[in-house]
Amino acid sequence: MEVQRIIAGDRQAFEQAFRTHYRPLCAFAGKYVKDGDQAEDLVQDLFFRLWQDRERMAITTSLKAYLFTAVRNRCLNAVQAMGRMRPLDEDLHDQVEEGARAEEEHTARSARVQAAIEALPEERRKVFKLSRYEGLKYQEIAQRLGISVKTVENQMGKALKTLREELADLLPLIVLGLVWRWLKGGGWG
Amino acid sequence: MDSERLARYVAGEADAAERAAVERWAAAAPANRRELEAMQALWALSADGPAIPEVDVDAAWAKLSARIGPAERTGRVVPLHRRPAVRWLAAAAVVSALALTVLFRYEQGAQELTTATAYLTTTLHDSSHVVLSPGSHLQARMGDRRRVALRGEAYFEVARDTVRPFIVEAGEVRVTVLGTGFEVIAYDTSRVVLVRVRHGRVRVEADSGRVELLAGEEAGYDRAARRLVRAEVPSSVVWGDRILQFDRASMAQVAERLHTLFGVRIDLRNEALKRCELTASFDNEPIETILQVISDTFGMKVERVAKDHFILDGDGC
Repeated sequence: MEVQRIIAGDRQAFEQAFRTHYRPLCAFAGKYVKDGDQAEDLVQDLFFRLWQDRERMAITTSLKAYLFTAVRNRCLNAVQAMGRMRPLDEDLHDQVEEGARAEEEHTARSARVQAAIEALPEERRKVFKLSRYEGLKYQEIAQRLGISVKTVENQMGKALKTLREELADLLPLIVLGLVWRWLKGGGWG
Repeated sequence: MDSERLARYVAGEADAAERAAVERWAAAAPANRRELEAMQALWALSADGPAIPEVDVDAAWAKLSARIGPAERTGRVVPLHRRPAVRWLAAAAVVSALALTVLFRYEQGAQELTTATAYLTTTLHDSSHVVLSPGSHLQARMGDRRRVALRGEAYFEVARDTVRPFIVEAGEVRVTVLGTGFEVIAYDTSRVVLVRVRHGRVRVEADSGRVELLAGEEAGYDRAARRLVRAEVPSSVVWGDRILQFDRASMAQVAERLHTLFGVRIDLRNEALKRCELTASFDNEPIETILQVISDTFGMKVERVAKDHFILDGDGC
């Protein structure tokens, strides 16, 4: 009913939706446009349009699915507008296309991962990011955030569990990729 | 193995003894190994850090809020049947909300209904049922002809009366009904007026022509282009606020729809389940019944892992 409430002009429902989805959407957009201000502008503009044109919206999916699809399309348009060189040679063209496709898939994947991380509750998100991206030990994270090591452990466990469920459809692929690498390289290296 | 230990393992926090223990556990069964691999895959997958710094949500809302202008109307939001257990409470809340927001006026067979933030289900004087969506307005006059003027969105179940046609006027569009269930979506500001038929037959007329619609069809009138076009009803539709209809809808769509309607999370245990296509309709059924019917249809198992979290398992399609 979230969508219907917004369409009916319920501003509280709109604010709630904004607060729930803004952070993950910006992280998602950031992977495409690689610029914080541009990512925020793009998401802001989407929410502005959503409110302005709410009666005209024909949203048949969930609001979340709609928002992510809309942001992705806006990003692709923005990236396209920035222009990409296209070589005339056909073989080269195919190679470039192939490379571009792989890059797009990679971007789409890491955009979803970042959105899932940003959707975690605040403390869990901070703990996860300090461990994963700043390489801090649990003890250091606990000190930095003024919480116990036990809480850090607990939050890390929950963060990974949530991410695993949220990104389940991406994981089998990756597991296959790892196994393949393992077979080729003769071990985890 | 609990996720805290696996997290310590992949995050490089485990000591040699603990690492060995995790590896022994993983070697003990294929399912364990997959579990560990999934965690390692997840860790690898998140290797690319964020591309932009964290955003300030409060500041962002303040900015957007200023841009869209002051609140036009603020109503209390009444949660509508989110969970079966609080249904009665919700019903009571809805009634009190309606008492504030709905205006009934009876005069020589005329009725006027207005909704703000909640759905309104009621019976018109000719015994037809109507579900009026939030933010809508309806005027009904039951004389020689049954005439209804609509702004907004409503679902109708029209009582059969061959002598007195039932006519809905929604802006430029006129819908004449021959005993049926259908929906009209015609908000003042919307560009398209939509008429969608669940069963029976209706005639839709606009300045540019007319079409007759049967069950499963819809017509849209484009106000700017002054054009009336026929279309297929989408594969997943909600009639009124509680009648759900699926027509060859993928299970992924079904899960999504149930998620928005009931606030429950539905996970499909394997990919093959996503290929199942559901054709079914549910009239005001609780989520448990709906999931039971779906699982019976495809030979799936339903597991309720939390109050609002279900898992569907089976061989799939």
